Amino acid sequence: MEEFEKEYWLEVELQHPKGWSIGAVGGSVTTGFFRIDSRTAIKLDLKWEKQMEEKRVRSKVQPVLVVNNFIEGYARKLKKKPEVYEKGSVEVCGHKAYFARWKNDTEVATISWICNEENKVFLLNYYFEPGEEWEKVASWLIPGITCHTPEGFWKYRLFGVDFKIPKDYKFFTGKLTIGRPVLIFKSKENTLVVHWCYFAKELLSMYEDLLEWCKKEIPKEIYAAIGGFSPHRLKPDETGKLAIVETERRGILGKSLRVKIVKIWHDTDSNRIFLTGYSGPQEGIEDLEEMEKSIKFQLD
Amino acid sequence: MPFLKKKEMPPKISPERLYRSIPIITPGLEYEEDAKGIVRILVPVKSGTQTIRMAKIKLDAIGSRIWKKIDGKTSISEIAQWMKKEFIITEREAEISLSMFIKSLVDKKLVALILPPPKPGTPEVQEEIERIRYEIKELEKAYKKKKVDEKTHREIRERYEEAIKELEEKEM
Repeated sequence: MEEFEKEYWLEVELQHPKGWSIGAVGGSVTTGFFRIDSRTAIKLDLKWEKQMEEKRVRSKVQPVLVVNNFIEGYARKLKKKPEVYEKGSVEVCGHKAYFARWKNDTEVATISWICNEENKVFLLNYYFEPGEEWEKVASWLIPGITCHTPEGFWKYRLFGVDFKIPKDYKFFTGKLTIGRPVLIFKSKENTLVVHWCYFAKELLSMYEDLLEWCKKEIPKEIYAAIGGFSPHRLKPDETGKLAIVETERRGILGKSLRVKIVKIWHDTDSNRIFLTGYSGPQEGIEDLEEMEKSIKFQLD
Repeated sequence: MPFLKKKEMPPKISPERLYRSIPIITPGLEYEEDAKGIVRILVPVKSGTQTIRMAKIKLDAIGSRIWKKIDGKTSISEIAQWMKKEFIITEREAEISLSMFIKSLVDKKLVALILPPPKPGTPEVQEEIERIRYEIKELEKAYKKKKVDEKTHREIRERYEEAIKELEEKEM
């Protein structure tokens, strides 16, 4: 029997057969995109777009049009007429979705739906390989999709590391380098950063200690996201993590207090060095604490 | 630039087949290990047929431990499984970082890959035929540059052509 694993990425939860993984990501504050690949092929991609003008959108955007436009656009690009096998509706995460199974250069199932809770329009494409049957794929793919939750955070999972990001924050930019990703999330004035590095024990054996590692190995994207800090000033905090806490008064009367926090620690259980960071108003420090507490590593 | 000929790249090996392949240290290559287990590969630098000196390639702590697992018997997939447990990493992390490391060793001709026979009825067969055709082209280039003598050239070429014929016949 096929085994499945959950994927949590860019405000969507879905499941796929074990061994598949994220192949590409993109998006901004109002859009999201990610692709899941098997070891040998692109298997599915999912896009969403946040709708700002709620009422207008509901009257205009319809999943059936989203699907048809996508198929037509694909055909225009390939200059080849698609063959549509099947059209219909399915339920995705409590929403009525429209789907079409069609073929151009490859066989695809395209599904679109509107999530009223998050006010997003979704488009999912599943790319078939010879021998795959839609009924079987739909039986694990569709029930596994979650596009909205009542929780105040979104779950993320990457290379075995799980963490939670408060819903106000959007994925801003990142680097998905294998084993050492950098992920930056932004809300209005706040920035949250998470980074980790595998082979911690082996890498630290090449340095005197974690501080020496920090001086040379912290990715430059983190300095840029936090707004600059000196790793030389990292000191152990009460929990044993290396930390920097810097405050700065801003505004005409210096009333607004901005904080920069960076924490780095070696987690021996997961053999990883973790780095979390926050930059923004003092009131947002809790976001960093919540994210930090949620970090968990699970070996597949 | 149109007047610069683009170097032909060898055909790609599917990841599935690559994971089943067995890496082997290039025959004749030696290495030394220090007290910390760090490996230095000794690469002969030749002028014509004569070795004029030995160049040393130092691996890091992780690379050194992987290098010692390359014994000509253990497949990439088995090394990845060992890495997963040894370094507490996910399967995907193990497979990708190991393939990148092995590729860099293969590119430097420090390691060769023993590929498993292609699975009949899969794209692996066509991939293998293309790979052998690429090897024939490389052999021809070497022969033109007089790096291979006529007898060896003829023998290898015949063996390659036979292998292609055999693969094509099996697929019919």
